[in-house]
Amino acid sequence: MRQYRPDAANLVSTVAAFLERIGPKLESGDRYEALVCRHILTMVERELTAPAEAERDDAAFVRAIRAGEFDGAWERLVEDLLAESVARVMIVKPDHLAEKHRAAK
Amino acid sequence: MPDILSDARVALQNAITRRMGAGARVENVTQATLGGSNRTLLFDVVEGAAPRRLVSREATFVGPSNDFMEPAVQFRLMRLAHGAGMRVPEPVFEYDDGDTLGPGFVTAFASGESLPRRLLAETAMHVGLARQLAEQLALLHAQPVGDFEILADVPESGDPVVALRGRIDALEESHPALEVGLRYLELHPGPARAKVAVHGDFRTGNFLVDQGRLTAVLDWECSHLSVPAADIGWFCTRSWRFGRTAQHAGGLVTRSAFLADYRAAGGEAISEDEVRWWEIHGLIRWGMYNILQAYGHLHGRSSPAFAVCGRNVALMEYDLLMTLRGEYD
Repeated sequence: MRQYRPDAANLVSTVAAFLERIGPKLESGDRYEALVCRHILTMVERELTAPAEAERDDAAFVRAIRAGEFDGAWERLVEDLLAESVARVMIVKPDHLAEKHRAAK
Repeated sequence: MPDILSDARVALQNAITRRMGAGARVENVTQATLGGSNRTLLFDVVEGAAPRRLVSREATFVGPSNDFMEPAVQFRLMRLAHGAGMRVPEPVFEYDDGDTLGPGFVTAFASGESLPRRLLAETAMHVGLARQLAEQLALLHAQPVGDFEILADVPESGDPVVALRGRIDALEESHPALEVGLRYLELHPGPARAKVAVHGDFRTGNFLVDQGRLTAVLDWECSHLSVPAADIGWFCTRSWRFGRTAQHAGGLVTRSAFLADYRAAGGEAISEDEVRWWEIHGLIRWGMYNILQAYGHLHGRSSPAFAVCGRNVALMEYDLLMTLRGEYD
């Protein structure tokens, strides 16, 4: 499984560039953005410590779903994608998960 | 940015003088901080005794990747809505070639609270507010669709699944979970209905409330032609409940209560299932907007908030899959 863009290196460098720019002149109006940056860093931290997962050709996967190739195995498809989604949200924002998925780890 | 603001003040004064005469003075110009691809200026026009607070909105980001509606179309739409008696800020004038501002337009200033967290904390007003919102939607949807010919070319005025899939495909990132949602919508079509003009972004956060009274429905740049349930389903989409998930309609009241309000206000009878179809569409669509923000972040409009949007797509996908499994409603 992969996370969506941007990749971790891009996130970190984006935040670094932002902090460098506003650091000397930080005002109350920048408070929100500073919070977002902190959120980014905690997310990256979770990602860097999570186990790596196998890559997959998502473009081909999308084409197959669109072509109806999974229509006969619908419940399994949704279940598999949900498991993958839980792992993704665990890194992005664990609080967003339903109780039973938070307890799973 | 004092220079930019003083330049804007001169430009605003020029635009006002051209239309209201030399006696009308522009005062108290401030720039609202919100809005990524728009510049919003607030100002007073003083002429005689009482100053009039106005709002200037300009599109500052014009190009092929800008999906938002042209200001001229938005202005005409707000005129139509205002003429129909809807609570929208009164459109005052459009900028033209004689102005150094624009493209854009000026409307009356509407006061009120828009922040979802604050509105949803005031639970005592929720039932009354939901009724007013349902009345606004019923009124909009009752307008003759022929008056809204300007919306016919918007992609969303065509097939809603095709339009949404097209937008996602254009953003060059594969999302199997969103495709599963689109496939579900294709396999379970809702009832065929006549199209009407829909607001297109009708949700908690896009209207103003002053002490329980709805004062303005804002953000008309996503309007298109669709079925009435499109607006109701977007309003009920889980992301817009802001944590009050049992109150499907914008975090205010239940889906069935809102549908009853809509019906009582003269709207069509719509089933909860028809609305649920649009809520699934709404989760995919909100995912698409977040992919779009990340796309902008990676293509010259870098910002921490837009970067986070790319990752937040996972949250909409989770809600979508939980909904498809019947675990979320």
